[in-house]
Amino acid sequence: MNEGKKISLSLGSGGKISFDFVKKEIISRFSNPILDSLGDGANILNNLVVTTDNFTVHPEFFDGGNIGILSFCGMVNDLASMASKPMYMTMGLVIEEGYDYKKLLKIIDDIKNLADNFDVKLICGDTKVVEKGKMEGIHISITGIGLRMTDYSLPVKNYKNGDKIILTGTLGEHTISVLKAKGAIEFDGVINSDVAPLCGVIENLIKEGVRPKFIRDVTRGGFSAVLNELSYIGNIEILIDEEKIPVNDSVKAICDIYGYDIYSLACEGRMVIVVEDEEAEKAVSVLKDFEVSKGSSVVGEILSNDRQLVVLKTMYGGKTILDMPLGEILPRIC
Amino acid sequence: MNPDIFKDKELVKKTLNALKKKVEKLENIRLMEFCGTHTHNIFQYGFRNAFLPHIRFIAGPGCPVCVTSEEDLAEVKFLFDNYDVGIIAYGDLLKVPLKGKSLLDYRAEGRPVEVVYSAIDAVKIAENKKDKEWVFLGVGFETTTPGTSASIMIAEKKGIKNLSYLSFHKNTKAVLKALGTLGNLYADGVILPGHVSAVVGYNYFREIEKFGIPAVVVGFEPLDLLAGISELIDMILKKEVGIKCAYPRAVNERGNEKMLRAIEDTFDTIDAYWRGLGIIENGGYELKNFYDGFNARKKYSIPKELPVDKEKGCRCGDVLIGRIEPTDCPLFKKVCSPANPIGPCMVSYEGTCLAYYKWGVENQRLD
Repeated sequence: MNEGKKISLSLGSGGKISFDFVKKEIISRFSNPILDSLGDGANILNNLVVTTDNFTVHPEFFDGGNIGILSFCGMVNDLASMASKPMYMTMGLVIEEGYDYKKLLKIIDDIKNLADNFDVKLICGDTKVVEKGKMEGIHISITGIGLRMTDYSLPVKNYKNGDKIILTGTLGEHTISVLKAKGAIEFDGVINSDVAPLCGVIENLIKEGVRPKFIRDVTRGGFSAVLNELSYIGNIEILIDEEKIPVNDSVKAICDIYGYDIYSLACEGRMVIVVEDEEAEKAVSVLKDFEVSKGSSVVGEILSNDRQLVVLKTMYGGKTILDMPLGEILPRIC
Repeated sequence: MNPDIFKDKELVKKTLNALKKKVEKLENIRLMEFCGTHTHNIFQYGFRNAFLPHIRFIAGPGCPVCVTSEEDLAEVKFLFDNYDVGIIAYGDLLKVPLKGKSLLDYRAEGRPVEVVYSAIDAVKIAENKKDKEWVFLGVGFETTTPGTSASIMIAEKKGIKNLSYLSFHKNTKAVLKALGTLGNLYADGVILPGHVSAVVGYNYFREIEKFGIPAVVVGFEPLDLLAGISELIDMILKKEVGIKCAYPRAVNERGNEKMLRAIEDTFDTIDAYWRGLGIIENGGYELKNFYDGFNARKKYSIPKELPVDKEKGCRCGDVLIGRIEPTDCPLFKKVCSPANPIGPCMVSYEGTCLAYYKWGVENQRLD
């Protein structure tokens, strides 16, 4: 049946096609309770959390960041999504023959500085060089190990009517920054990627006594994908209030011109956090104290309706559905 | 005038509430939007759901990707299978299957496929990548056709040799005329495309008067849409027939002379296949003989009648004119799905069948 079928980019885009692939070809083969929980990382032993990720962004340098910063942030954000504090990391580098040495050092130094800031220790690694032209630039794979800070593991399965959904900032800057670096879109001025480590923020949130039910960083597939995963995991309906979603006007304008759906654009420094209604105000005020999450606000809530659906109340007063993005992000013509 | 006024939240909300009140006694009024962007925006702004069950929106035959036919796509496949060419296309076309394989799949196999936002960018690609022969796929109505015209003229002036054009451009007036001969349009009113009208002028759509229903040219910002819908509802209530324009800041009766001349200078109208509707007299635009050197059909001797296997039972034609609901089609969800779209209405993001498929709650209120 799969004769002649080839892998297309959509498979790795984080949307429905990726999600279906993971369910159909990975979970079905390797199924076990840890894997099946579909978290951003895995809870193992008593209180350890492990996450792994590959980074292939090209070009490796873009406004507001580079592949090294991205790898570290991606790893710690995944660990934070499991309510854990990052402790150790491994690092695999795959480099194209002929790659610029100074650029490589810049990437490594950026990772090192971030690791120092958050007291994360590199404990092993691997470096391979691939013949020129067999790949482009540099790829990084990172595995992170963290210590769980809560006495329960995330995401929880049970949500209740009125649980609040918090978003920690504006959407889409990372995608726009990378698309510009790729030369896929053109505009005057600079939009910096939102790439940022959020592990410190989450650590503080938990220390302050907030008990999050769901934390996930908004990456591939964007805000829509995270909400649809939440709806799937909890078998719940979600209502999002568009007026409450923080907006970067420049990103919005670019989306309007190029026909991108802002809710399916990837970020690398934004979280969706679900807390009980009573904790929402406190959670937002803790989050707002940090520069990387100062744009936090409650953007929606969980409804008791027993259907998996993400409804967006638009800023114009209508209602529409936020669906799982179908694949690669493509602009529309008309 | 400040253009942001047309998306002023408070103003839009007030207008929406007033319009909701106006239609609350109406039952199942069916408004057909011709243009894919209307379909998209009505959905995105949350208007599709706001008027249920009083008003329903039907996506008509005005989404360029939807009406690009199997015959058109067979030509792309012929090119890929027989020549070492690169394809330049608009983004929406990349997911459309060509006999099961989309341009995305071809790209995954290593075939060069470039996405552009403007036809003129095709010239830049050809100039920058001279070691390759490129073919630009011209898709869309009179909104995108002048862009292709400009691109062809620039390529000709610059003497570019490694770029040609495969025109699938469609003539909107011809389809209205053809629909008239089919008999009926299963709608109570028509939302006419603002962008196409800006190019061709709204007199172009006089054919619609034959159907005995009203039509309004509508813009795309939330307030434009509500104003247009409101005007259309008023006409329906007064049983008026004819065309009105609720988008006067962009559209007049005659259209944009420069753009129309660019189309005339580069294209002839020809009979063309519209997906789901069949062959439409004068329904397509083909490059004039003067530009034979830029016409991919001639450059690569693409055979006239390429074989296409059409799935029997697809009723997209009936969905496009509003005769049936997607759920009435025997293939819907059984054979035809977004991963394996059979007809145009499932192909495009803007298609009615895809909307029904993805949002099973399509006709259900969300509050």
